[in-house]
Amino acid sequence: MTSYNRERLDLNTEAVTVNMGPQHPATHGVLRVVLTLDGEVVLAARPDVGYLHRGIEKIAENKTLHQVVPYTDRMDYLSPISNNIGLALAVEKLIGFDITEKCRVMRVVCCEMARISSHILWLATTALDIGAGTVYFYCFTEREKIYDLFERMTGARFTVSYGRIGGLARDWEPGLSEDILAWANQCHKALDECERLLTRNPIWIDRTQDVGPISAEDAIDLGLSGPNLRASGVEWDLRKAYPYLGYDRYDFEVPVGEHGDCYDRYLVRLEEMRQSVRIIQQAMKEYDPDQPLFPQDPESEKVFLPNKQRVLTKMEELIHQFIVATEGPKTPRAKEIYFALEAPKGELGFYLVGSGTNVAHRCHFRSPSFVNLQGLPIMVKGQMVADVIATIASLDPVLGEVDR
Amino acid sequence: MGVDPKDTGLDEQTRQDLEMVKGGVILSSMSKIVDMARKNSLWPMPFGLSCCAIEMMAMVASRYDLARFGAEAMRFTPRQCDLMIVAGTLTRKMAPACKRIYDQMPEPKWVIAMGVCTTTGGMFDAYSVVMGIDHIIPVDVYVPGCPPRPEAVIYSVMKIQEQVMREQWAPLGKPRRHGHYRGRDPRYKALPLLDKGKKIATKGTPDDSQTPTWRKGYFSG
Amino acid sequence: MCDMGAREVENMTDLIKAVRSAFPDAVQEIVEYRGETTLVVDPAHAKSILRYLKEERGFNYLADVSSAHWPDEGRIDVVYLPRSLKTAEQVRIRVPLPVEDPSIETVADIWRTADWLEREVYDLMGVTFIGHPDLRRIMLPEEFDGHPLRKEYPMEGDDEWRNFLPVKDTDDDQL
Repeated sequence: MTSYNRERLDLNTEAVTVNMGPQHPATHGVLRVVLTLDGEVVLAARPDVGYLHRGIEKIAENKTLHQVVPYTDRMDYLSPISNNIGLALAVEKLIGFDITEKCRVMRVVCCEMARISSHILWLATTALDIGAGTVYFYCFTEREKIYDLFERMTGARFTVSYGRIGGLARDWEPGLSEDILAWANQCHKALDECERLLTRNPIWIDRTQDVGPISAEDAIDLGLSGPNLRASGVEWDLRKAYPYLGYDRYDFEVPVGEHGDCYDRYLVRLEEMRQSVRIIQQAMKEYDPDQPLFPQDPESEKVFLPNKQRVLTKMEELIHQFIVATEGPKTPRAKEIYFALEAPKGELGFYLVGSGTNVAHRCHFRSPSFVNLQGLPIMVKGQMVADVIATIASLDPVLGEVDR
Repeated sequence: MGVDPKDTGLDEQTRQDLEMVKGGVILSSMSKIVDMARKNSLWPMPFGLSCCAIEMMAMVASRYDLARFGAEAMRFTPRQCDLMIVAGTLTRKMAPACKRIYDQMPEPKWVIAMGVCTTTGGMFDAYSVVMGIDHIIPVDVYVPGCPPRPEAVIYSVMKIQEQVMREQWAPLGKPRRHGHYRGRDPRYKALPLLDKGKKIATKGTPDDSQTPTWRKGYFSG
Repeated sequence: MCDMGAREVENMTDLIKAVRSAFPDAVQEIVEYRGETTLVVDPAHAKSILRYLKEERGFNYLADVSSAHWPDEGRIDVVYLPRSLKTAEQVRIRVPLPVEDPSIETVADIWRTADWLEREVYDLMGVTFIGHPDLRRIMLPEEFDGHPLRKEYPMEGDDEWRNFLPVKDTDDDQL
């Protein structure tokens, strides 16, 4: 790591406090960082969060479990489907519900598509912050294709509320799975294009190599997760450690970096996108459109909303819709679970405590970006101001998740 | 195949004007020219707070190109901008910053409230959220949606352009104030006030308690 | 369905036995639910148990620090979730604190992860962490009064923080 310590012989200098305010083009949202500078060198950085605190945890204590799903969309708003599916899995773990095989496959595909779309937007904004504006447009073109698929799947572009407790909001139309596979097969072209522009670019390497380094011990001690932890050399991925949604049957690799600087985080995320494409291709082989999306036994029908066509025509489904929409599944009293998902940002954890009613007693979201941002002061100490921008960008904080 | 002016039933004066235009000359009034120049080169200030900022970014990207309307110069400093697009939930901690940025923008300025969080607080009825930015700054166009599609935001920029055309730029007169300002609810005691100091008119300002809310504008005019 | 920690059930029993023998009267209760083990520990020994877990048993990662308020039982629970990255073991340590004076020793010197997580618990729930390097509000402004995640605090805001009152009536003429 290049050290920027310079010895001032006879100049009288003092440290300057500069506020990188909540409104800033490159802080990825409303993040405030108070920098103490000696010239251009950062002596200390103190992040100040809370400018987007919307009280989602408090709101979730007043809503039924089905009503909490749209709030999870707005937490990590780059990959909302991951959050929905995470909440659905956590509630299903709490109440003890098993999903069908088809639902499992669809959820895997959705999670991986969300991972690709999140990392692509990360690449777009990071490149824009560091100065490579062309990559922004290439990445957004690719992300628009994902938006088209999401729109056909769910109705909305990105805040979808698609993952529901007990399954998913609706089934896929015929032809959508082939289109998803076709998109996944050609997705690598955009990634190759961006890689051609950036990976061996001397300006990119100068701006990101040895910038914001963090060692493996520090990363584990600070609780980093996701690509930030893996870029420091720690091989830890929740999909491999605690496999959920049947990830242990898919053959994919987890990229691990070496130095823990911004360049490694960039390489890890690029490789993760390619591995996600592999997972989608493998999962689509298992997709069988003729199977039912929801389990058919009558006991489990109290959990999920029934098929809309049948609700409009049959009395029984109408009653079920009414009961589930107004009440929903009941949580067992004083039982708590913690379920963690490998979100694109890291470990997204859901700590749910049941209350005996259909409203959770406590719903805590362990957001990866909140804990990752703690590492910022250690990563930028001794670096330049421009490196602070590059480090924040490579940490990939999403302020909706940090502040909840 | 062009249309011959003689066939369209235009009168003689208009036909002569059209001949001049073909020669590269346009006659118009100064205010119309200035307003047209202003509306086609709005510099937005993206005040992106949360999820709506992603749709704002998608609007600037190549599919829903905002550059077609001349508004792609997204300068993040308020000193150079005339259109503030507030996108995302405004919290109580962020409200003074929002007001400050609005104050730092030079006249004439317009505000788009993008998304339901800025319009009325959205789905977040919580202790730390300001339920609508028009408690602190006057808003010209509200765009509902969670988040609104980029086409909706482009439509709102077009509506702002219509408002710009109605400005009637008058360099020697008082600048026109506009925008709907719900006024700081007297129960929100510590939210920043729009105008500290001398009040120019009471009708439409927060002290006017007789006028119902939906009639209140900021210097209604 | 995910089974966090249920794979090594023998390790869990082994771990519980070790903790019980090292701290004889600290563990009040052991709860097993859906493959997860929760040790309910009394506040005086919580930090030593967590330090023991990190140093002797290799739980080098702290996944989460959370809290829950049970007003009718008069307690606030602080919940720690240490994890071992080598063996993928995870255990939950729940510490019940009395609602009148919820304070506990900080674990920020054991795992630096707890720094901001404890600040958040202090901010929203009001639990004081003794010995924390920088115990300030993190999510809410500094001048905010009250701790919103407590059950008696209303969702829309309270006049505890006198600046921010909920809008009660919707009659336009009254505003």
